[in-house]
Amino acid sequence: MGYLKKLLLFLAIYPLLLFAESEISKPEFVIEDKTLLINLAANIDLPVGVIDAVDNGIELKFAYRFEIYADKWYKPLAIAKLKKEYCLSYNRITDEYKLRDPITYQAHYFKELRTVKAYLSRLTEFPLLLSSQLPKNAHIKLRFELSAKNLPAFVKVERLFRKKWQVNSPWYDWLIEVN
Amino acid sequence: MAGKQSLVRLAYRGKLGMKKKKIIFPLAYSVAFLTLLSLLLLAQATEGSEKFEQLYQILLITIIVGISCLFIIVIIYLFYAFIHYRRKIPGATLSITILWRTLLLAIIPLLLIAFFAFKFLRYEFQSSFDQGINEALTNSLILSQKALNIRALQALKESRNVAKTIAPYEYIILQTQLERIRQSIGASELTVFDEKGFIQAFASVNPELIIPPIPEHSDFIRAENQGGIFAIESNNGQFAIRVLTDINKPGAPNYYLQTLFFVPDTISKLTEQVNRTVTERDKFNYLMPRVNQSFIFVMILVLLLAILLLILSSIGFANAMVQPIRELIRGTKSVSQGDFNHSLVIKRYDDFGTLMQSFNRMTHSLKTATEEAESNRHKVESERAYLATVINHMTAGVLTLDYRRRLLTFNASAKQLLDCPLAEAVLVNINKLSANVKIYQEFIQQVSFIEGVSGNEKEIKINQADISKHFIIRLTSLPSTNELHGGYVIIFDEFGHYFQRQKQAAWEEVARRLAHEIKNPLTPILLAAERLNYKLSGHLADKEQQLLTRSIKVISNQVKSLKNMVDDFSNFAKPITMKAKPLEITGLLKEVFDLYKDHDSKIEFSLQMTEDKVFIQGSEQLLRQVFHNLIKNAIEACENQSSGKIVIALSQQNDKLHISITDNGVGLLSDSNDNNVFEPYVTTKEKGTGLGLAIVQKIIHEHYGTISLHNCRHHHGVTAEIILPLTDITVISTSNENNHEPSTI
Repeated sequence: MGYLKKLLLFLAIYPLLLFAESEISKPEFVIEDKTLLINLAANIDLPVGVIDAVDNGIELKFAYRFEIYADKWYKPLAIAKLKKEYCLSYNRITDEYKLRDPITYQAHYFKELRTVKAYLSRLTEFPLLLSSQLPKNAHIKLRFELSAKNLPAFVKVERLFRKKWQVNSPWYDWLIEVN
Repeated sequence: MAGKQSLVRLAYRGKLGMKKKKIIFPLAYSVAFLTLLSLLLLAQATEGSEKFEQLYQILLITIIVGISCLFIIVIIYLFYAFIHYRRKIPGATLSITILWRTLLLAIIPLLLIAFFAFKFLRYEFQSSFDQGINEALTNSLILSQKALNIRALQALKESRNVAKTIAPYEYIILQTQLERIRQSIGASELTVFDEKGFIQAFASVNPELIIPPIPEHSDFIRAENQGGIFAIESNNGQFAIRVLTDINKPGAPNYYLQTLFFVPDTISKLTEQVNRTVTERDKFNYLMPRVNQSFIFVMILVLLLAILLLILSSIGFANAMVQPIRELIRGTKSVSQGDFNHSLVIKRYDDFGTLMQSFNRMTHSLKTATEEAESNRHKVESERAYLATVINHMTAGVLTLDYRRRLLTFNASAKQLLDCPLAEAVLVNINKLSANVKIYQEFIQQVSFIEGVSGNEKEIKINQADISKHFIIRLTSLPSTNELHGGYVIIFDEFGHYFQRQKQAAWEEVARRLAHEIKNPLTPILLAAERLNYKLSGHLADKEQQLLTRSIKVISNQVKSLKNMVDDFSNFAKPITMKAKPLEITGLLKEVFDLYKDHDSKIEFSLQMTEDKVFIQGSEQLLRQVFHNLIKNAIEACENQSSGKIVIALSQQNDKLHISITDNGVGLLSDSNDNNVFEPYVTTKEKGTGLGLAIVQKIIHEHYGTISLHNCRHHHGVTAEIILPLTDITVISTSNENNHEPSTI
């Protein structure tokens, strides 16, 4: 029974051990042209598994996910849920990394992964919602994640159990304080 | 420990009772089916089906949960089977044997298939085959890169030349000449930046493009330091070369020239094709081991599911096989314990069903046979009991002996006549008999045993110390059969008793005839006398009339007297019908004593009893008649005494009850003895038929007792002594020689 308990405990804790490779600092919120904008800095870690996949022609999709809530006495009420996505790919001919916005198709080319990480680690003036829609005591939940949906199925299993695939940051929850 | 107990309880509490079992099995198979379906979809997803790819995690969780559920069910069932095995529940061993044999048969091939499947999955089919293609692809890539680089270097050279050309141009000339220069060198875009990076002039093949891409500040510095830089860009399969060089303007800060050359379509397409192919190859090489891993993962899940299903099916199979056997074991146990009503419920129509049907038929036959045997035994028992009753009620002694002349059975009269503990002689060799049964030993020794003799009569005289007995015996030899040896039956009676009974029988016959012959004419005589009196009355003279009246009265009285005598005769001759039942003789004696104790002031009655309550088998009515008769006799004997005394005493000696009624009357005549006072018509009284004591003796004999009448030794008077048996007749079983236990009826 002792061994069974330990096994169950390990299985319960194991997924937690795989999280929290990337970190996000407390963001800044500004209102410009009646729009709430966010500026944030993160420490994005692209582990070996991710780099290896990109270098081998797999296009990976990363995203910042934002969820804005208004505090209510019964439960937090969701005001908005949105995300900023990036598609990262590698071109063997030009030996460049390409970071593409899947919505605007705007692309950025990088010779080195270091610069890709640096680019991903900054998000400047990303519009969240109209300032008029922002309630009092609103708070934001955000995280950086690697989207599993677009991963090939074979990688999905590996991603579940291997630390070298863990990119996701934990969910951060901050009160929105507009400067 | 508590967990174990709870598991045991779970396994035993109606727990895995039949109803739960019926639910769990279909449930387990449903879970297995769901898991199998999820596995199929997972396999589809693994093969790249986009439809199921999105459900990958859900399918994975479903499969793991399903397999876990099946695993738990299998563990519970195995544990249940193990507990049954430990507790030696019928069929558990067979169940375990079937289970492990089935598993052994099925799991080995399954593991073999799995082993080779894994081996094939791990085999890298394409590694050697793809090596050449890989090299060719890599070379193509290098070639494409080289070609683009050469084109880029050429573009750089051309850009530098243009930079030299336009270096002296003033702003206006630059504006007008730039489009011409662009066309002359075949560039698609030309842009001139000042030292701060602001656009000074711009020419493009695309008229819609208003602002060209602006390089980073660092790019300007690098271009100045390195004498020009270039970059190969790719946009939707179209390759282009962007070059940035400095423009040395004499006596002024450097300007910068950015040129963009599109790679020719053919080269661009070919390069893009190489790029795509190389990318696909890289992707394939990257994913191949993961595809294998995924297949192995799915394979492991399939294997696990297959093994669990196999164990579950084996358990089901073992249960199905063992269930009828378990029923049969229970049935045979019931039958072995004598319960032939146990019938098996037949739910199947295979060989087991036939076997169960045969079992039911067998138990039915056994039941019928047993009932018949029981019925026969009852018949034999009742016949034996009837025979024993007959023998035990015989006044003659009956002995049965085996062929070795050992005593088998005896009746109460035999015991009484021989007056010795015959039970001690049962199945004992004649030469080894104890001294207690000496009289019996002598009795047997005098019998002439001849096989095949029937009804041989003989007289035997036994003289022991102070006892002398004279018997008349009748010997009958029993025939031998195949299974049983013959034996002997001896019927005997004491000579005196024999003749007394003969005499009594004769008297009874005489009394019956007398009663019949005399009783019939009495009524006509009485009627005739009364008629004579009626007819002659008034026609005769006084003297004659008186004579007539007196004569008629005499006739009438005598007829009545004769009628009473005839009634006594009739009673004497009538056989006594006795309904024996447990009777408290002490109570009866007290009751009779209470009736007489104040009868006459001249007579003193006393009752002496050594026991409080004594029970015998007898008839209350008949014994009451005996006591009345004897007490009346005693009272009559004391009538002429000034101080009469009658003592009624009761005592118990061994298994006999002694009752005596003693008076201090005139006593018996000196020539009277025990024998003749009980004979009919023998009386010492002036009035009386002499039948009272004869009837008393007859009643006492019916109670297997004796009665004697004798004068008191120390004073005048008579003692009437009755001896009654306390226990009933003893019979020794003859059904089996080995059964030496006497049985009491």
